[in-house]
Amino acid sequence: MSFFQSQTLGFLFNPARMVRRGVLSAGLVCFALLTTACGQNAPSGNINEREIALARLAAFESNDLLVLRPVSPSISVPAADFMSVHGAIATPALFKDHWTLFYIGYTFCPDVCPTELTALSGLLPKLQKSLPDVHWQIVFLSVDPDRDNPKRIADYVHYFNPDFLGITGSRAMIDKVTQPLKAGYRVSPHAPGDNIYEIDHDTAYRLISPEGKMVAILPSPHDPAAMDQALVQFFKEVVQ
Amino acid sequence: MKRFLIGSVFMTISGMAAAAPVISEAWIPEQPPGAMASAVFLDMKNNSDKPEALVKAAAPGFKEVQLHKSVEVNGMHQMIEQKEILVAPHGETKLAPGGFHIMLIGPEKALVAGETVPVTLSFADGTSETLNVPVKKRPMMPMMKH
Repeated sequence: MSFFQSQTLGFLFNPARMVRRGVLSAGLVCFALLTTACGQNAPSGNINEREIALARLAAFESNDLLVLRPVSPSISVPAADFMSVHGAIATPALFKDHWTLFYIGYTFCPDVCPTELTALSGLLPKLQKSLPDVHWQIVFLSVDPDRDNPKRIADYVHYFNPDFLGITGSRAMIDKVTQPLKAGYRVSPHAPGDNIYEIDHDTAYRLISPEGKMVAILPSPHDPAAMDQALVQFFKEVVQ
Repeated sequence: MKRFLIGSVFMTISGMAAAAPVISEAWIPEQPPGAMASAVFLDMKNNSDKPEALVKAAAPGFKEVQLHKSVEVNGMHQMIEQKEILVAPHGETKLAPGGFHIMLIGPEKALVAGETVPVTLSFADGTSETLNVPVKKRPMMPMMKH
């Protein structure tokens, strides 16, 4: 990153801004203008905006496939509309300016989701230390819109880390995104109005690039130290 | 034979008609505000020569209490309701994150670390036991291992 860029763009990447989602779209417009202006000086672009070189992704060999599996070719997250406690939010715009770890679940989940969100809350500070230039974002998509509303999801994820972003949407929008990402889930059969049912769901974290492409999968069990190492390797060999 | 004798002595001393599993390490993870479900985790140790089983759990202040097992098949997490959770003779069964658990559904109020919940466990031998289970914050490191 050039000195010019880090100075100019620094104010946009203040982590405190992450909680103010309302200004995100305004920030995106400014960011787009700035990157266009900077583009000629630094063709590689900022790490939080840079496109991944497909050849480098294809050539990447993970040290441990049980911790991180590259997705090559990458898979684009389709355009879809969701809701967070801060209002409407859409893919792929939501991924801009950030590297995102994306996880699906539901707040009714007593065991695995809290375990996985706890692991993410352990991983995030490690990543912020080992890859300090990267602006990390944790997105939890509830696949249970019948019981989960944005407020409930926000209360749930903020318990684990106040910077986590919880979203949900209509069944159609959820499927539009989860199917191409192969993030499977299955709602247990239950009578209409029955409020007690389980949802089987994929437990992997999905690494989404700023351009809205899934480039790696981190399957469970999730060990924060091992994931930290794997992501450092991935960024060194594919992104940086 | 020796084992049988020791077992008999133990039973005589404890004065129990049957040896229900010995429970230890019971805890309930504190859940986020508004969470509709939580879990009880614990260790069950069977000191007898016969298989034992947890067949029912109950706790006041919840809509429903069920026995469950989390399993992972091809990266997909599933929860399967259990009729009973077995403890082999002289064996141990752990209810732990990512595996067996007692699911507490629909709490009347949020569970906060430091509180306790009276949980009554019923076993296949007809005995039951009520424990005051502490609510604790989850440790940072997950204990899920395949």
